[in-house]
Amino acid sequence: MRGEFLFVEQRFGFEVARGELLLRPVAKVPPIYLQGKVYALYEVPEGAWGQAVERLERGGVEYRRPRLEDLFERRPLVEKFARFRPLERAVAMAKISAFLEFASTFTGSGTFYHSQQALCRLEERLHSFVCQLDRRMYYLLLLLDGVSDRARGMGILQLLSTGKEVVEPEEEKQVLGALRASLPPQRLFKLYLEFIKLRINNRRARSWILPFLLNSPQLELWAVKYRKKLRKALQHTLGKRRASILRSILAKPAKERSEKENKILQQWLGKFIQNSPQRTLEIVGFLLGVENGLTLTLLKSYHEAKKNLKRGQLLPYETLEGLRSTYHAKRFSRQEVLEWTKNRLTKGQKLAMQRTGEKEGVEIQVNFYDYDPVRLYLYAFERGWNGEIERALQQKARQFAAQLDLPPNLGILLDASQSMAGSQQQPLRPMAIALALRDILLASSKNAALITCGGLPENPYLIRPQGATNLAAGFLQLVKKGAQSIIILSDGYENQPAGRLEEVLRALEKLGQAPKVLQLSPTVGTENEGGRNLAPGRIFATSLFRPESLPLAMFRITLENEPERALQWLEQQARSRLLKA
Amino acid sequence: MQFQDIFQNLEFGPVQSAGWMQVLPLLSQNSENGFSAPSDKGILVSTLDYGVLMFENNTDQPLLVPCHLAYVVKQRAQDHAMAHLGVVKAHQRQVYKTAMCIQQNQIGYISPGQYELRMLPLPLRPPALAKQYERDFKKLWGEISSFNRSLGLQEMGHVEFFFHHFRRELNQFIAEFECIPKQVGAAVYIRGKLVGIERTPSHHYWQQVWQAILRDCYGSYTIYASKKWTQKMPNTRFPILVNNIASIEELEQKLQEANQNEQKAVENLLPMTEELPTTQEPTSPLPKLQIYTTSSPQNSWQGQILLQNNKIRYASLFRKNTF
Repeated sequence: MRGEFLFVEQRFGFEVARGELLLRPVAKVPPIYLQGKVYALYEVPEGAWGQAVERLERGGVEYRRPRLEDLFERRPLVEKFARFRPLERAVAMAKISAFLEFASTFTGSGTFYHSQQALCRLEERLHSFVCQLDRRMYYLLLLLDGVSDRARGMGILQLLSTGKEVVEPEEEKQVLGALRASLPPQRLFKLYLEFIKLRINNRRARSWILPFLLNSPQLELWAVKYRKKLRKALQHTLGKRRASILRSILAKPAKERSEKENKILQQWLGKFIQNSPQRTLEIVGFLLGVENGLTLTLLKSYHEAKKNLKRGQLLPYETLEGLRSTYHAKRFSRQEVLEWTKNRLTKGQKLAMQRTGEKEGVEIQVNFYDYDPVRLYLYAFERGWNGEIERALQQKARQFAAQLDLPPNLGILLDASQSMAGSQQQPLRPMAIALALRDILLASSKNAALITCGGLPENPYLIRPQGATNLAAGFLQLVKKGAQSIIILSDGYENQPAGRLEEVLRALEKLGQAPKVLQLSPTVGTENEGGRNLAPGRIFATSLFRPESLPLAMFRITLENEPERALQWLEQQARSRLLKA
Repeated sequence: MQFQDIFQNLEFGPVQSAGWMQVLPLLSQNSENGFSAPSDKGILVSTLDYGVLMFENNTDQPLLVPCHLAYVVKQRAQDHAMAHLGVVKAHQRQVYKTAMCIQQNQIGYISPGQYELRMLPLPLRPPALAKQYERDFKKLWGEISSFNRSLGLQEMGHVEFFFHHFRRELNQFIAEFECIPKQVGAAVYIRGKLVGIERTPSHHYWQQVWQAILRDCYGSYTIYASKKWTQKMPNTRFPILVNNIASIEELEQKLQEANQNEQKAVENLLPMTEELPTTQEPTSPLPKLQIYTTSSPQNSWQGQILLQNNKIRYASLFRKNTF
């Protein structure tokens, strides 16, 4: 009969028990890392349990029975990093930090100082570096809240294109599924096109794309909305020859297909389809170009709308508008299409098309609670403030704030100077981000004090950027109010005069009254490829484009100051995310 | 004319400082508009020939073309600059045959349109003003070549070589300084010396031109100066002396003192009572408008001033030999 198992703390004391063969090491299971201590698994021989435990307790050695959740903690990142030399460790941490900054802020476009190509190259290098550094940590980082869809897409490409290096196949499969579920369809289909560009078509990639695509309840809608992209993805995944054969088979009515043809359908597609194969095969046929004998509503509407636009009233706005401008530009107006489809617009379209709707005389209903606070502030800047926006913003701030654990007596210094107006490409975006963050920080910390530098308040919430940047005086006021931690929401360009805040911080350090300072910058692409730091070495600065990335910014700070704690937190977060998925 | 006339009905805003450069904003409580800016809707610019710039003003107000305005365009056309200021009547066209080519080896004319406003770098402005009446599109090539050579760039009459090479640094100036409410102009200091005074007719006008003025004209000079002189803190900058502070209250007081000292230091450098010898240009584009140019090229201050009903509406003055 086998004995019981026990995790025993790995330190000097346990030798006492092991020496008398009371504990037999289980070599197959690597040590685990729990609450800052390393434990190894041992088998306790039958009948020796009481004696072994007594010895361990006498020696002050900690032990615990194995639990299911311990299995998740079997691969300690902390241990790996603990083995690094100090310089290697510092480089690794700096790269991880830069990776996270890119993962949460980079949108793929060029910035004020850096070209798009240069930034994209840097992004690729960071992904590749972190993946090679620790593949598991890489995909766990991608799962964190606040990581952009773009970074997740890049991560999927990285993981699927380096399949030979998989260390935990099951977990990685789960992660890839979770990452896919988090991406919006347009991003996902764009990603499929990247597969074609990078010529990724391995077994893992195919099994990642096809079952998801063919079993999605949204496939019919996607087929009319993203037909070209999906066709390309299918052709790439199946191969051009197979796609062509399938098209010929699917062009025939089901009854007329030969046994061999049915066998081909089953072999190439059927094994991936779980429900309603006829429906799925019709959609696949439509995607590959078959437009005869359509029975599904949307596909039929699409086909008929080419001849009679009114028949396509069930189609999404952009699809119908595309058909109108191609086949019926003279007979029907954009206004008619908007009127027919106004109730089926996506949330994003509803907000973005308010101005068009007004111009065309079509009223489009918007539910402000559906949008993120930055978008709401941008909307308010453009279209004006109202009570509903205010209530929605307050609700959003409370929701975000519930996820944060900020210290009491927090000081918030908001820079509302002219430079926060942003660039011509994205006007007022930095200010909108700063205002959204301000609301969240105020809602999350008890007794938080706020000081705004510059700006033209339109009401207590909405402030238009205006004036010069004089942060030092406001900072000192916060310190006088007793703020022990201060968060500065600023682009980092101080000019009354430049460097004054650093001087004040230096003076406070000498007085021994310097608070902890964090600078959240709603801009990126300045000299150091991140937010411009108001006082390098004294302030931790990070770029932040969305309030959702706030926990990620906090993680980066912890990573810099307490790497072990940060890595433990990463494991916990990723695990809960995986369990949810 | 005295310098203080330039500052009539103006107030000083809080000084903005970053590195070697300081900007003292000039504010007007009741600035009337009265003039369109070259970037306003309805203004078109083009070149008809080499050295010939044409402005088409489709607005209801006269267009004021700032002194030494430049166009560095992306199309295959020769970049051009104005040698002086100009005024174009409402709903009219005006051709300036005294304009200059600032892109030696490029052919082609600028097609009518709106382009980003640029300004000649400060070291090129005195020679440009001295040759304002010459009708020769090549007139600035020699000076541009020397300017480029002094910065280690290719010795040719291409201003865009400089703008492209120092693009990042020049853009930095825009990010460092900000246009504040009611601002209509600025006094600009480099390395603790007053190097230029710019006044425009209105806040709207200033909003259109401030980036070109600070980035291209004075920002360029800051780069030029940084190559020639070693870095040192200008004597118009007053950092807080950290060592002798005993409490937060004292720090607050020191902060206020430092800011006030900096403000006073730059204001005191304005040569209020100094005479500014000028000559009136013989022709006037509009009734009740007079253009004055500094009278002697030897004078340390150069530039142009526009008066309307004997009130200064526009001034662009810069130091010839700054250091």
